[in-house]
Amino acid sequence: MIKVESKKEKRICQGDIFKDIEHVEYALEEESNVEISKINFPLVIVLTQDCDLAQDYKYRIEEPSTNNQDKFLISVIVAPLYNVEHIYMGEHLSEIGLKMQNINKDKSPGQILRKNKNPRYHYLDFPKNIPIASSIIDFKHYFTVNVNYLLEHKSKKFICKVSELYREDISQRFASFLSRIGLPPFKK
Amino acid sequence: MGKSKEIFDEKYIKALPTDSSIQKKVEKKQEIEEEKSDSEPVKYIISKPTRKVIKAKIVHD
Repeated sequence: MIKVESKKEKRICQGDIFKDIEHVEYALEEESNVEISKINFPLVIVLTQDCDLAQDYKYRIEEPSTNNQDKFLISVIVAPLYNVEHIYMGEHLSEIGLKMQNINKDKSPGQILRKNKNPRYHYLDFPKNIPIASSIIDFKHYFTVNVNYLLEHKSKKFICKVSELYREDISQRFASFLSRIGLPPFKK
Repeated sequence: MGKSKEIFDEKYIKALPTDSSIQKKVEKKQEIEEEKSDSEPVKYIISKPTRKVIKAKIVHD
C-alpha cells in the first residue's frame, strides 16, 4: 500500500494524480475543415522530475522574469492509471478500440505485476481513505500535457499526491523502463 | 370462551410492538447502517479512457 497526501499545493508536483486529463491524438486542418481527436484519461500521474516542476513554477508564476524563460517547461510528462481488474482482462482500452494482453491474475504474471517486478507497469494500492481502487500505471503509455493546462485545472482535477519515497520509486522505475535496451535475439 | 379469547387477544396485542417501538428500532438500524457506510470508504472503479473526435468548420468573415 502506498502513502498519499491529500493536501493540494499551488504548483504541480511529481506524483500528483489528476482526473479527466485530455490527450490530443491529432489535430488536422484542411480547407477550413478542422478535425481534432482527443482521448480522455480518467486518471493520470505526473512523472516529470519535481525539481523541474518547482523551477518552472518559480520562474513562470512566483518570480516571472522578462529576461529569459530558460527554466520553463514545454509540457509535463504523465502516465495513465488503469483499473487493475481491467488490466488483467486486457480490456482497459476497449473504449478506444484497443485490445491489450491478458495477465493471469492468479498465476505468476499477476503476482509479478503486483510485486512491481514487471518493468512496464507499476501497481498502486491506495489507502482506504482515498476513493481509488487498486490501479496500474502503464509506463509505455506516457504522454505529455501542457503546463498551463494542468495549472489551470489543478483546483478541480487534483485528486491526491503520492508521498515522496513512493513517488521516487515510481520515478526511478519509469526512468529504468525508458532507458532499457532491447537486444536482438542472438543468431548462431 | 369469550373470556379466553379476550385474554388471548389482550396478550397478543401487548406482545405486538407498538408504532413508537418499531420506529425506534428502524431508526437504530438506520444509524448503524449509516455508521457502517461512513466507516467503509467507497472505492471507485476507474472508468476506461474514451475518445472524442471534434469536427468543425472555420468560418471566415
